[in-house]
Amino acid sequence: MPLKIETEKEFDLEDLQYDIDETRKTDRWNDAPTDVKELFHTLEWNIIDGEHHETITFINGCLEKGVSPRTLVAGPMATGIAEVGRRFKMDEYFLPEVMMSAKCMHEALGRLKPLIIAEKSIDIGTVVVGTVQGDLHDIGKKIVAMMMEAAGFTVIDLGVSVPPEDFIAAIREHKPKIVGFSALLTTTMNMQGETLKLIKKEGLREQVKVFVGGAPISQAWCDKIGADAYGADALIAVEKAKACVDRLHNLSGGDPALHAAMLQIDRQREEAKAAVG
Amino acid sequence: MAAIIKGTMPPQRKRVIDAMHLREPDRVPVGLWGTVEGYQNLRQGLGMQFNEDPRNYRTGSTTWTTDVAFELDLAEKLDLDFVRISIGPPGGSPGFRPIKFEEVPFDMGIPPPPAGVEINVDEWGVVRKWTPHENGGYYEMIGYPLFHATSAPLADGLRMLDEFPWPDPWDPACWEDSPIPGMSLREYCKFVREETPFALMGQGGRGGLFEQAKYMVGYAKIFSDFIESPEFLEAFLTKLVDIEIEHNKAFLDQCGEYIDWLRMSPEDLASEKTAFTSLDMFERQLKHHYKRATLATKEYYLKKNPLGKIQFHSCGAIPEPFMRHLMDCGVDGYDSLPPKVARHSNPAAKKRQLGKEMFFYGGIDVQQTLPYGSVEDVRAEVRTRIWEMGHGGGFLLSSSHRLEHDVPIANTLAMIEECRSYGVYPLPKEPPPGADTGAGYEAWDPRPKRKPKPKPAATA
Repeated sequence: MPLKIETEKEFDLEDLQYDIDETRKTDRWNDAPTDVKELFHTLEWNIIDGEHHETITFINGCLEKGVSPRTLVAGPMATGIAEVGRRFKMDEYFLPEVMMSAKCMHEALGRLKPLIIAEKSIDIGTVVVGTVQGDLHDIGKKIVAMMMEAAGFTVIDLGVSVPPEDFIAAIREHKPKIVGFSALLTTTMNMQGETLKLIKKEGLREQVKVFVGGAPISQAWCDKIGADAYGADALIAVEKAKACVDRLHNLSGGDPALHAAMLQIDRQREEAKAAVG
Repeated sequence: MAAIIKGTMPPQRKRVIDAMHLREPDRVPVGLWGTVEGYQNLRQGLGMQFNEDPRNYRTGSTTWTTDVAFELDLAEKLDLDFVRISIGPPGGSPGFRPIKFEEVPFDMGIPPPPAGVEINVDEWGVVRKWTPHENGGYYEMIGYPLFHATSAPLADGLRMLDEFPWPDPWDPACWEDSPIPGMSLREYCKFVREETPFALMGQGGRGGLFEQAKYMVGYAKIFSDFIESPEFLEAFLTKLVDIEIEHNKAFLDQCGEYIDWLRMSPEDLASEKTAFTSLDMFERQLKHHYKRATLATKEYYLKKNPLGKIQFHSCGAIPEPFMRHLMDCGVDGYDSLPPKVARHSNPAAKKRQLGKEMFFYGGIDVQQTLPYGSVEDVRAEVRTRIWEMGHGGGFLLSSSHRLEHDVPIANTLAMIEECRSYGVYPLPKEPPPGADTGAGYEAWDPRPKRKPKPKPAATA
C-alpha cells in the first residue's frame, strides 16, 4: 500500500480568531440579514478552500433563504474567486489550490445557470461571446455570459480558443448586437485585435458592437485595437451592453459616439462610487 | 572530422568537463538544442543538405517528439563543444502506433475527431494527433490513459496501475538506431567519444516523473489530484520512478562510459510565473520521488563513469528553494535557465545563490532575443549571460530552450561566435552593460507568514 499522506495544514486557532474578528468589523455584508450573511461567508470560504463537494449544499442553502442567483454570482462567488486570484498572485496559492477553487465555481455555476436563464423575462437582443484563439480560460467569460443572459440577452457562447473565422460565422448566423472577446493572457490578447480586424475585413464591423475583457485587458488596449467597450467586470459589461441595445441602439459598431458613451458609463460609475465613499 | 590525438582529451570535451566540475575552462563551452523545424532552418541556412519532411527526423523519446538529434557534421561546421543524444522509442522515432479513434481502449473524454484525422498512440498509451502549423508540426496530446484512474476509488485506481501496459525499459529495439544511419546507439556514442572532439550529453529516460504523470492524467486534472487523490498519486509516481530508473540503467548499460553527463527525463516544475506547487507540497509529495530516481541513477552511472554529472531540466521560473531540494536529491546541474520569464528566473541570482554547488546550462533567451532580437541584441545578451554565469566555471551556454523555426540563422551564429570571443577565461572583471550581479534579488519566501497580531495594549 502506498504511503498515507497528510495534507491538512496546521493552524493557530488564536490567529484565526483574530483574523475573524478583524474581518467582521469591516464586513462587506454587514447590511444583510445575519443568517444570509453567515451563509455568504461560508460560501465564500468554501470557494477559497476549494471544498467543491460541499458547494452545492451552500448554494442551495442560500437559495432557500431567497437569495437571487444573480446576487450569489456577483456577491460571495465573485469575492471568493477574487481572493483565490489574489492568493495565486501573491504565491500563497499554486495551481493545485486554484484548480480546486475552479471546481467549486463550476459546480456553483452549473447549479445557478438554469435558474438565471429562467429568470429572464424578455429577449432584448443576442450577444456572442468567446475566448479568443489560443486561450483556454473559461470562468470569467462564463460569468459574463450568465449575467448577460440574466439581463435579458440571448447569449451564444462559442467556448474557448475560438478561431476568428468562427466568430465571423457566428455573427452571420445569429446576427448578434454585441460580440465579446475574452482573453486571459498577454500572449493571447493580440488575438482580440486580429479577430476584430477580420470582422472589419468581412464588412461586419458596423453591424456589431465589440466588447473586450479579461485580466490583461484595459481601456487603453480597447482603444488601441478599436473595440467599442471594455468591461472591467461582469456588472459593468452588462450595464454597457444594456445601454447599447437601449438608448444607443441607433449607433453602429465602431462609431466614436458609441465609444464616448461607453466611457461615460465608466465615469458615472466612478462618480457614484465617489459619492458613496 | 576534426583530428583526435589518441590518449589526450580534446579541448572541446575538456572545456565541458571543466565547466561541469566548476573549474574555469579555457572558454565557456557552447552547444545547440532545437526542434526539427529549427534544425531544418539551420541546415538550410548553412547550405547543408536537409530533409524537407519534418517527420523524417530522428527525435528523442516519444514524449519529446520535437527534440531533434543534431548531426555531427553540423556540430563540426559550427565548431560546437558538445552534442546531445536521447534514446529513441522502440523501433525508432516518433514511435507512434496509428490508431482509429474508436479503437482507443479508454474514454478520452472528448468528442470524436472528424473522419480522416490521423491519431496515434505512444508507448505510454497517450493519444496524440499530428498538428501541423505553418512551419511544420508536432504531436498534440488529446487523450490521457489514466484520466479516470485518479478519480476512481483508490483500490480501482491502483488496480488500473497494476494492469496498465507499461513500456518495457529493456526493449532492445530502443537502442538499435542513432543519428548516424546503420550505427547502434552504443556504436554512435563510442564513435563520438573516440573519433570526435565533442563532449556528449545523454538522455536515457523515455518518460519522466511528474511530467509523464501530467501526460497520462491530463494537465487540468493532475494538479487537483495532489489534493484529492494523494494516495493514488504516490503509487503512480512510485511506478514512474521505477521505470525512470530502469530506463536510465538500460541506457547507461549501452553507453554509460561514453557519455560525459546524463540528463534525467525533463521535468517541468514551474510555469512562467512561479512553481506549479507550493514548496510544502513539493517537499511532501514530490521530492522523495526525485531523490530516489536521481540517486539510483547516479550511483549506477558513476560506476561506469566516475566523472559523470547529472543534469535536471525544468522550464519556467523555478524558485531557488526548489533547486536546493533538487541538489539534495543528487542533481549536479540545471537547464535551461530561461532568463526572461518572471521574477524567480533571474539567472544572476541563481548563480549567486547556487553557483558554488551547481552548474548551469542554457541561458540565451528563446522567447524574445533569439527569434526577434537583432544580431547585436543576441551578442549583448551572450556577453551579459557569460559575465553573470561564467565566473568560476559552471556555465554551458546554449539557447534557453529549443531553437525553433523563427530563430534567424544569423542570430544562432552570432550566439556561437560571441561565446567564442567573449567567453574566454579569465572573464572581464567589469560587467558589460545591462549585466546583473544578482545582489538586488529579493529572496522568495516560500512560506508566507501570517501578519503578526498586534500586542495587547498594556493595562494600566
